[in-house]
Amino acid sequence: MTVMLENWLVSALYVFLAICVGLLFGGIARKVTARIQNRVGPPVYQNFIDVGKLLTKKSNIRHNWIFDFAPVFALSGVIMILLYLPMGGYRMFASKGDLILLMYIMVIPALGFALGAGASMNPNAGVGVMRALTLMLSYEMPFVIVLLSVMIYYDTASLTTLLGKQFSVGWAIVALPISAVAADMALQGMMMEKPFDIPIAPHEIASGPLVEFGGKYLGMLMLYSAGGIVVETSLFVDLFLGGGVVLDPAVYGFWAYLVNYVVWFALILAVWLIAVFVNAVFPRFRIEQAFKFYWKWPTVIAILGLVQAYFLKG
Amino acid sequence: MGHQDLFWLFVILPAFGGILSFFLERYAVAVATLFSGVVLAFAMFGYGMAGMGVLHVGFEMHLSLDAVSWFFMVMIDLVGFVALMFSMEFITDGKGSFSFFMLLALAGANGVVMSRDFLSLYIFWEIMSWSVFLLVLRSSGEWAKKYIVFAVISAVLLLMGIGVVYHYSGSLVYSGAVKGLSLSAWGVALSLLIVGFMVKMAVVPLHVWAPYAYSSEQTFVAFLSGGLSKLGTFGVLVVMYMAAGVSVMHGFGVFKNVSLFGYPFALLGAITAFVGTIVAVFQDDIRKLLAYSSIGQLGYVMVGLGLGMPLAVGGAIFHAFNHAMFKSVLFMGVAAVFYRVKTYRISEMGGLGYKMPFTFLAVLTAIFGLAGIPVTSGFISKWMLYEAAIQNRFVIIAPLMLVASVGAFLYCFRILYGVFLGQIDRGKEEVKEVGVWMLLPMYILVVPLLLFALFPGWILAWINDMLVYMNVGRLSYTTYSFSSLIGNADMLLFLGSFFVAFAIAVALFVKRPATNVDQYDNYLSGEVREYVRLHAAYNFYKPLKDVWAPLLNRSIDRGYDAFGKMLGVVFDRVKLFYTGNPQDYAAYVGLAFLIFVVVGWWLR
Repeated sequence: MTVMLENWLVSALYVFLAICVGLLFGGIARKVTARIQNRVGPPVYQNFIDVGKLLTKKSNIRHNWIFDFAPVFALSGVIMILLYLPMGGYRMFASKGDLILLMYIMVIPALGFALGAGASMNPNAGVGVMRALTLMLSYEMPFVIVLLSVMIYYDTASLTTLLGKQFSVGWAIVALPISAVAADMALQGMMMEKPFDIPIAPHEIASGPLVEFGGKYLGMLMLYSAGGIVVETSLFVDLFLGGGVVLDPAVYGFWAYLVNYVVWFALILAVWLIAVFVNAVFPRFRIEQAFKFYWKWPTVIAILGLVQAYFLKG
Repeated sequence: MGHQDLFWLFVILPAFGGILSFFLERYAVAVATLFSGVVLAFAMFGYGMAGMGVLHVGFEMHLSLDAVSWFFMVMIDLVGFVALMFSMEFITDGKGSFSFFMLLALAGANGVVMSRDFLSLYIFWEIMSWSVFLLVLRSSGEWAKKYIVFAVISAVLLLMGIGVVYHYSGSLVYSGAVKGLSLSAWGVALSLLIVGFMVKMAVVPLHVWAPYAYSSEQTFVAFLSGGLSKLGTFGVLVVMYMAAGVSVMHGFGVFKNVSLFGYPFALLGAITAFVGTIVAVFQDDIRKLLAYSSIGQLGYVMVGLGLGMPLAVGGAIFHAFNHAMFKSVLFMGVAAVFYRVKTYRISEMGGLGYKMPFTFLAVLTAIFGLAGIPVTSGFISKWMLYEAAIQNRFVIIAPLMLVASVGAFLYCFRILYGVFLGQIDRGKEEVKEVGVWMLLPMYILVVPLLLFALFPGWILAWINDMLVYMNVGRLSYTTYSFSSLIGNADMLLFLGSFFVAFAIAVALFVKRPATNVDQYDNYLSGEVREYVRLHAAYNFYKPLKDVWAPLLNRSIDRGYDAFGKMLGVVFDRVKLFYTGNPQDYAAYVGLAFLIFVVVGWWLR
């Protein structure tokens, strides 16, 4: 019983830390983008101040009960994803569910968010969700092929086994470099960074789905998007960079977890910075351009990766 | 229950109820509901109570209520029961004939799933098929001919397949067929039978009847799409794994544990899933949207049946069950909406979720099932099909299925947003929730979706029984979790922790009551306008549609139409021979005689 409670407490700590890391990453992105564009930019802890301010704000306006549903669904969904995603080698529930389950849990927060956006009755929100879903259909094409390559190459759909195999025989980015390229391209769309920030395009549709959310609603959704950053970068790191596991916890115990966490942090920061750099210098695609792009080049690369995985496996 | 009772209870009783209700114009549907409820109750408690038996009704009718027929019978009867219950208010004219044909179709369906020989299968199949035709004809009128053309094609194919089996084995019983047939004969017979059943499943390219037939009265369509289309699934399952069996299937050659004969069908299923989904995304008529979605979802089922591993076949059966539940709820939800706003066009609806919250919740749960969100059992069946395809490394089928499931999110949101969220159109502000006799049927079908999400082991035990009965193999599962060779998932842990996470999020979110703001106050910043249409619903996925336009213009439906026109021209030419002049006919007879003599002399 105490072991179980301990596990739950550690899991809660990891989830809490993940959301903090996400907020920090948001701040880093703002700072880096500002420096690239020769501005000063806000301090890196600006997002913490924003979230604190928004969450303590007195309640303002609302629309209806479905609208209230959105932030709750979004945040609980992102907590669920974080529980099933190994972070720094710590595998909370990862042995009790596999990549397919994870893929479907990843839909839950987005769906809740979309429901709330729809219930806000603002046409910009509807258009934004339409763009988000179209974008999803776009980047999922290369991404599922990449997932399939990894799954058939390592002959597992379980992230725990995947991390174990990468720990013993080397990172997947070495074995499947072509798939890693396609995955990173898909990741840019998944994180909705430029050139794929079409769903939230602030200059066209007033932040799209977010348009009617303010105050506490926006605070909750900031937590959700902070968690989302960690989820997406961490997914890439788990799939291709061995999840940042460098020491075996069975041998080194606590220190292994600490070192692995630091390595994992450095790796997801690297993945995030690539996205931020691309984001800082690119203009925005139109949605149909994004669709054509994703079903063309990243898909071709992903298929090449799949062919490689298929024949390497023999 | 003896086998004698099977025939009386599950075929004659509903048929009798149909005849009875035919004469009770006003209470017809209520009586029909009662009868289907009784049949359902007998079916539910009849599990494992009757073995195989032979009934002599002029020919030998082999009936059986084993694990396979029981599962399908309960599923179809449940959907038929709730569809009839929903119809009590929904159907206003021709109640007698409606309930008569519904119950006749139900009786036919029960007969089909109980049959263990091809002749009674064919007879019951035709009873079911013609009842459906008359039901489609009731409201779709001219479009019913699309259905009947395909129903006849299906019947002819089945008959040819049965003929091949009988020719070689001399027996019409499933178990007798295995002995007499050589592999090539099996190849011909199976192809004919499977393609015949695939018409009912609406697998691409045999799907073109579905969007038209599914535009009939929506309560009947709930039964057609949810219940009767599963007979196609049942038929394919039975001919592949009960009549032929795994050994015959594997006799065609095996590629990565999968029969080479099954693989093309699995591939066709994956293509169906993909095409059905993509076409569904762009529909504005919600009936057509759901019809194409049904086509796509049954494509998944076809994938599982074609792959033929225990996990795949189990996933296919489970998915057929889930589809029966959620698609019936969706069609009934559409019926409920139509009952209030009298339109099927998504672009003319919007905001009905605030006015009809219970309908919205039922439809939302069904959508979760359709999209495969893990809070419903819709996830589990999809999971099984994906893992089956991935663990055997099918690199074409798996991505097609996965991308199709992403496409499903697109049309799911189209339903949720276009119909239930967004702005309420002018003149629809006073729409009320539908009555309890319309809500109850929807919620009856929502229960299994939620229940089997938490206890997948219960339904997997039944499915496992079926697979063991057909010698396909075993599934690996416990009450709360299930696993494949490459992965596993635990639903108790998932749902439990989701509940906790939800509670945490609610606790973070608790706030003082806020003022409800009208849409105009917000969007128009207080500018006084009488009415502005602010619902982004017309041509929702336009950018995507523009990209797909060159492909969407090529429709197999139009291809068939062109073919039909060509036949029409040919037959018009043929008609020119019928001049009505006796002298011409005399000349034809003379000509025919001449040909007869010449050919006869030549063949001498």
